[in-house]
Amino acid sequence: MKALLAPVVALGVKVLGTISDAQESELLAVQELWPDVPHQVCQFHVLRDASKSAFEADKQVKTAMRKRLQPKVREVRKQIKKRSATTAPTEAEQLAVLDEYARGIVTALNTDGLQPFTYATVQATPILDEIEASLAQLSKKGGR
Amino acid sequence: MVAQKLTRLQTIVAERVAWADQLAQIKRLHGWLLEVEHLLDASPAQEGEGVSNATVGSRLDAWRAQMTTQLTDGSFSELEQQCLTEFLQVLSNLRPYLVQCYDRKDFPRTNNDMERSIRGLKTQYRRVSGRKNWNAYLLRHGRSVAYAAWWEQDAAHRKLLEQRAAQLDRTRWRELRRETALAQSEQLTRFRFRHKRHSFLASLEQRWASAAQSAPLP
Repeated sequence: MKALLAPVVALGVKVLGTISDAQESELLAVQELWPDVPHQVCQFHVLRDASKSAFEADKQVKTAMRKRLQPKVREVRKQIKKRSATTAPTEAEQLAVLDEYARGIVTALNTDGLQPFTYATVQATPILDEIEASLAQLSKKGGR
Repeated sequence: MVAQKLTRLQTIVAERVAWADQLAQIKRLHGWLLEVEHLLDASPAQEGEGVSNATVGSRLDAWRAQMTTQLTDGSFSELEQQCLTEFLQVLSNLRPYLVQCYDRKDFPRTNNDMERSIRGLKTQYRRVSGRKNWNAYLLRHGRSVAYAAWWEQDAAHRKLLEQRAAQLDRTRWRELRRETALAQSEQLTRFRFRHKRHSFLASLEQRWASAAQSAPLP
């Protein structure tokens, strides 16, 4: 790492500060080359490393939920599709609406996380909450 | 049939209650992560003028101390304890380097900020050159483009640059320039295939047709 930074040292410019993604080799190299210069580690990298277990836990829960719920939603969609082809237009329209909800559920279940800040289940939970509330509204309004 | 499917969907969505405890724990873990990010993202615009390594560091340390205390009072689940312990451990290990950027203006706190400042440099050079593409300027200054402003700052710095320029091996410089130009051209082609495929393929077809027209008859 020191060799990699050698051209920068050779430039002779004044180094006011350094930043790295917190790899040990980088920390050691900048510490040796510029001991009196402030070194900042990338805070995203630090938070990403620090929250690795939490992110993994989120991923596991998301996968478990998807594994259990997604096949059931798919089955409902299959049945809706089959029925829609033969039913009256009004019922077909209501089934089409339900198919949109089913698609919404699948979308929520397939939400991906992105380290460090985006957690799949944290993103998916409000979507599923709202879908549930909206389905309850449909239920109140009634269906055939 | 419709009512039946509606009920079925409601039942499926409601099944997520099986993970309610875990979801609540993950939400808390995520909340702590965001709390620390909020402490670290202490821009002067948000916090007034009192942002420094000392103030941000002290807030971060207070948060760490508070969470360490809570960790031992038995109020957290096993998952929360495990994740929070790891979280605090990493923060503690890297603490000496974590809060160093606030005493100096424009010191980036993340690699993203660093890249943003490089993009700013690109924009500046695009404006100076009046070109959409700054590659020609990069060729002039090479990898040292980021230091160009510092060199041009005063006579002493300029002298340093002149001394360095005098030591340059011209043949090697030309070779490097040719290699860099070639690499940039390759990169541009890859970019066009990925993002401007339609127009790029049309231009290739056009080039092909023009070449075919001007080719001598067999």
